[in-house]
Amino acid sequence: MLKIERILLIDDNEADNVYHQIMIERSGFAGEVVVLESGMEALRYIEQADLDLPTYVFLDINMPMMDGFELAERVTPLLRDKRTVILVMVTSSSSPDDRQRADELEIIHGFITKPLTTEAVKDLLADPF
Amino acid sequence: MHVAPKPANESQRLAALHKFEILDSLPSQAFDDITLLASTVCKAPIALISLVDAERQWFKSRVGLDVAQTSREMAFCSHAILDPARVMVVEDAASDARFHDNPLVREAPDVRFYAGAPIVTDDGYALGTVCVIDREARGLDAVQVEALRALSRLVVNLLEQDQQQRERARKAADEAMRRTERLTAIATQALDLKSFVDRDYIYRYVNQMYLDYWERKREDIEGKPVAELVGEQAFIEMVKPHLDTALGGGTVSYEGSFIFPTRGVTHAEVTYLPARDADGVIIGAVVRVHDIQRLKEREELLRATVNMLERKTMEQQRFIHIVSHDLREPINTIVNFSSLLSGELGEDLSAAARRYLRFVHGGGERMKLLLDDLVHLIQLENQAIDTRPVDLNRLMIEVPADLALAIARAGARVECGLLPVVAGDDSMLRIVLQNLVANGIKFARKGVSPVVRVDASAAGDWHEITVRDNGVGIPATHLDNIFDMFKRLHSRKEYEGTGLGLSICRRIAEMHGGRITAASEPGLGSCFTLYLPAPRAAQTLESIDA
Repeated sequence: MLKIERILLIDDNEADNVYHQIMIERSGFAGEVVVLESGMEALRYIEQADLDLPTYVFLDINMPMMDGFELAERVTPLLRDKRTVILVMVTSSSSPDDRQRADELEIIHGFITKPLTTEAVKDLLADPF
Repeated sequence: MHVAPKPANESQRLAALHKFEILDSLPSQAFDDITLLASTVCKAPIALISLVDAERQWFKSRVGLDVAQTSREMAFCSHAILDPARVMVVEDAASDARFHDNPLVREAPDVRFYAGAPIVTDDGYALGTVCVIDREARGLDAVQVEALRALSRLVVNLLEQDQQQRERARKAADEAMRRTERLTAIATQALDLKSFVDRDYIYRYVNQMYLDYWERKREDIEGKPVAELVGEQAFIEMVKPHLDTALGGGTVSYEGSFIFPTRGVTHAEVTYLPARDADGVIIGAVVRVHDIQRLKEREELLRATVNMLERKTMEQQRFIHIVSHDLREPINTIVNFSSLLSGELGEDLSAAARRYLRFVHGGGERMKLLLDDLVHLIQLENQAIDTRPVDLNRLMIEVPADLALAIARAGARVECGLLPVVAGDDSMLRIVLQNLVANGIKFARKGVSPVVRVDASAAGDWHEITVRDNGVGIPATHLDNIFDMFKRLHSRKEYEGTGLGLSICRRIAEMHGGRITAASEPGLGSCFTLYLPAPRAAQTLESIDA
């Protein structure tokens, strides 16, 4: 049973990040919440982070320049063998193409539709996988 | 009266007779000459050429008798044909056991003497006789008997000749017709340029079309070598190889373009064919050029149109993507934060502020739903509809399961009869059933638990699937326009909804080649009928209630 100590919110939408942070707070999560507002920023963070710390990553699909899938591909070599980092795609609406791309990338653990609710966060923290 | 029996080969004999197409034909001089001769030589007042048909004897020619035919039963000739080799002579019919009570003997024409020589074909069938008749008993001498026989042979000759003439006439008609058809076929190819080149690669003949297209005079081309007219290089590289193929017995066909003096660039189909003389020897080549410029231009137009349509479709797809993703984000923000506001600051706000916040939140929620429905509708237009067997019974297990929450909240009951398997798109048909059942649950009467029943029947070429409810009903004036986009009959306070559901249902019905109608008794309930085509190939399960 993995106890999540850190949550990464990777999304260029400020309003969504604020909202999600509030939802996470209300779920009772006591760990670190890191907000990253672009693919590049997220990549730089992940490259220097301690990846042994159990982390849940909420990755928005629709980001300018580098979208969620592209970021997922680029961090795959770093995260492939780490059982401590769980990556989920977050989206306002999913299309069959999105789902297919998510299936193709091994590193992606699942899919969530926005907005993240307090209940959803509680459930995920209780059972990360 | 003895009726002569029918000969053993009667059916073949009749066939032979009918083959000559002589019965009921007009009198003819040649046959009349024969009866005249017969009457003269035998010195008899009556002479006949008689043909014995199934039930009658019919006279092709007659001297001294007014009737054109008699029944076979009383015909002397019916006896004569029983012995094709002999001339039958009856010297005194009145004392002949066979004929003495024959009407022809007892009454007019009062036959006493009869002599008939059978008319016998090469195959041995006796078609009738050449006969002479007298009212006094008498006989024939040997010369007269021979004469009668000769005359019967003459009749056969005439019949054969007429027959052959008819055959020839028919063949000639066939030939003429076929030739006309050939000429017509060639005429339609008259729009082609044609040239004939001999084995020495010299133009021997070109048609008018050729001269018109190239704007040349006949004397400038005929008699001149091809190389001189098309240019040495073009001749060696392009024309000669094809001519050689044709001269060798082969055919070459290809599409190319020519630059004509006035017409300019013209696409054409070019064919090289061998030309043979009456003995089949190849004496040259025919080159045919078929103008397909018009065709090519239409092809180009078509391609341009297809490209434009493809571009438009891609633009539409992008539009859908924008609508569904980029619009949704700000809508989510409105909904999320307005609900946060009412939640967090609820107590601190004035009643008015709380009310306004509720409107903001409600507006956002509605936008979300509207967006979902709109995207649905747009995607429908772009979707290629699946046509596979869809078991509606299975859908009617899944739909109530999806609506479980709404059913439970409303205390509703959803029932279903036996439904058919139809040809169509699984997800689209599910949307229709879901919409119709959900409506049946939603538009319930106050205090009455909603009951929604789905049934099916088959009527001719159609499946009729009905969704009946016991809800508030629909006024007659609106039974048609409820299928319009955004049409709502109730305020949002009474029943929520975007007003798009039924227009989506109608669109799906249309895409399946069917339609959807509504019937209703306000205050009692409504019934929606979905008509889907029932092609003979699809399986149908009859509804138990039908």
